[in-house]
Amino acid sequence: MNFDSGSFRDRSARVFASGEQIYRALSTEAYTNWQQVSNQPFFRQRSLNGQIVGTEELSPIERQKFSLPGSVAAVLKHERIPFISYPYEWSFTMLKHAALVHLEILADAVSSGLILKDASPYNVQFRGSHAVFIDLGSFAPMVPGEPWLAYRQFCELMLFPLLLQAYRGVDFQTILRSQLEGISAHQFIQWMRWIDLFRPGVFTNGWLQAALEKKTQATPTSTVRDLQSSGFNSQLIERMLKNLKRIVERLKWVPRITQWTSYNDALSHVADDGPAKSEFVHQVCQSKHRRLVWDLGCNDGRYSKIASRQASTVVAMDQDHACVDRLFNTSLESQSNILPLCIDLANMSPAQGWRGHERKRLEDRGRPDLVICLGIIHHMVLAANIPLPDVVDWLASLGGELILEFPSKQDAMVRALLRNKHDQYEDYSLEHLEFELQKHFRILQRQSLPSGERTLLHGVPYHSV
Amino acid sequence: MNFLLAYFDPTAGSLLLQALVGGFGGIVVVGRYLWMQLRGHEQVQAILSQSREIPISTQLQSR
Repeated sequence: MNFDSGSFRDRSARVFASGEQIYRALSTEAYTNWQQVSNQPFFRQRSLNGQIVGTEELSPIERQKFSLPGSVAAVLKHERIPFISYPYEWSFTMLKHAALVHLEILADAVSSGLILKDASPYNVQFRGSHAVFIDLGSFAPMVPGEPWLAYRQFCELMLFPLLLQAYRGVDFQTILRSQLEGISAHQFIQWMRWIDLFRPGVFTNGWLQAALEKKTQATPTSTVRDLQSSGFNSQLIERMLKNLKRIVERLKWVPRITQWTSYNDALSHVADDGPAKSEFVHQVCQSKHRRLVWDLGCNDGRYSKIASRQASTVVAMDQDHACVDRLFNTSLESQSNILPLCIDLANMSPAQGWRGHERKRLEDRGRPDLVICLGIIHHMVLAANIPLPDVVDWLASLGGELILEFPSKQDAMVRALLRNKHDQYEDYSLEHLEFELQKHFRILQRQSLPSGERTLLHGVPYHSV
Repeated sequence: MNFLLAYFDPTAGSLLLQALVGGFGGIVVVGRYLWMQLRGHEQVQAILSQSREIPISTQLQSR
């Protein structure tokens, strides 16, 4: 049994996987905390409505099948989250939901005499469009007179990225991807204009925090102990949580209009080919139930929605933040099984953190049974300059079936991509694509679309024919 | 006194801020905190001022 390489920070409640199941090994202290929190009405209620990950305690006999260190006092079995995602792949509204779930659960915990030891968005995952709190090891009894130690972490990993996006339109994903600890208060205020100091959350949580950090750097005594002695109490935490919740709830991000947000039926090739593409995707998807489907370049998610009817989970990826946020908002209304993520296919999420083991690369978090790759290959080959055989090789490495749309060089979008470029893409042709595909896939179906310049292909890997 | 220690540094600034934004009750806490800091500083100064240098004859001083 090996502990999950990303769960080393809190040694008292480490995660491990066995088969398809996820478990958490608790130390004696963490087990006492678990017994306390699992009996709280708020915990039971939020577990029932799916806001806290479904969990059961293993009996001593069930535990025996694992060779665990002697320090492990108990083992919990968690509901499996269909696809693990990270904050640097989420849209604004997704991070906002994660922050609100955190604050709501923490507020309940505080009124029950408990606290959350940390405030990391990595402790929240998405079951489709539903935010789920997964880190049960974070609950601990509140120590009277002690402040919320994770407040700074909440600001750096959730509040500041949200404020940056809402007030300054700075996409937080790239920052959170390179700075796994988040955005410091000092760094945050560098992005703010003086006028932003009057906007909710900036002055106190940003400017004042940065100033206090600077002033108190050399404090020789324990501030926790000194505040305890000065009469700090849990009502102050409750008041602060209310303020933070109000700030986060009111945050809105209005994305600028991009060519992708207005990618709709008004475009001739979408209007001409859309119904035939939908029918093709529908036919392939309805043939059997699939556990995991990836929709690459999902845009408004119309094909993700078709696939989601016959799949447990659809991960809908697009590099356009506005598209992903819009899809998440529409998925919210229907509580769908679609997980939208901000992914640049030419630069996907890598393995990161300590020794590259802490955060997994995208492909290592679940292999798709089916990959939908519509209207994207020309962008990868002609705009991102990735050689066509490489693109096909990568698609094949995912191990699933493939639905792929190929627009020829006469297609209007392809011509637009090439209008100002030297055409060095001699291998960009349907014949060459099929040649490359047939190294890995048996092509079961091909269909020309009404526009006459686009072809759909359905390939199945040879190993699963 | 009991402590719940985090596995990351919460920083003194972020802890103090929680009292500062807590309305009147928080201001009272900050006032007491500052008073304690001041007293602590005075006590340190007092100890330092009571300490004396031990005279060492110039012959014993190493160069």
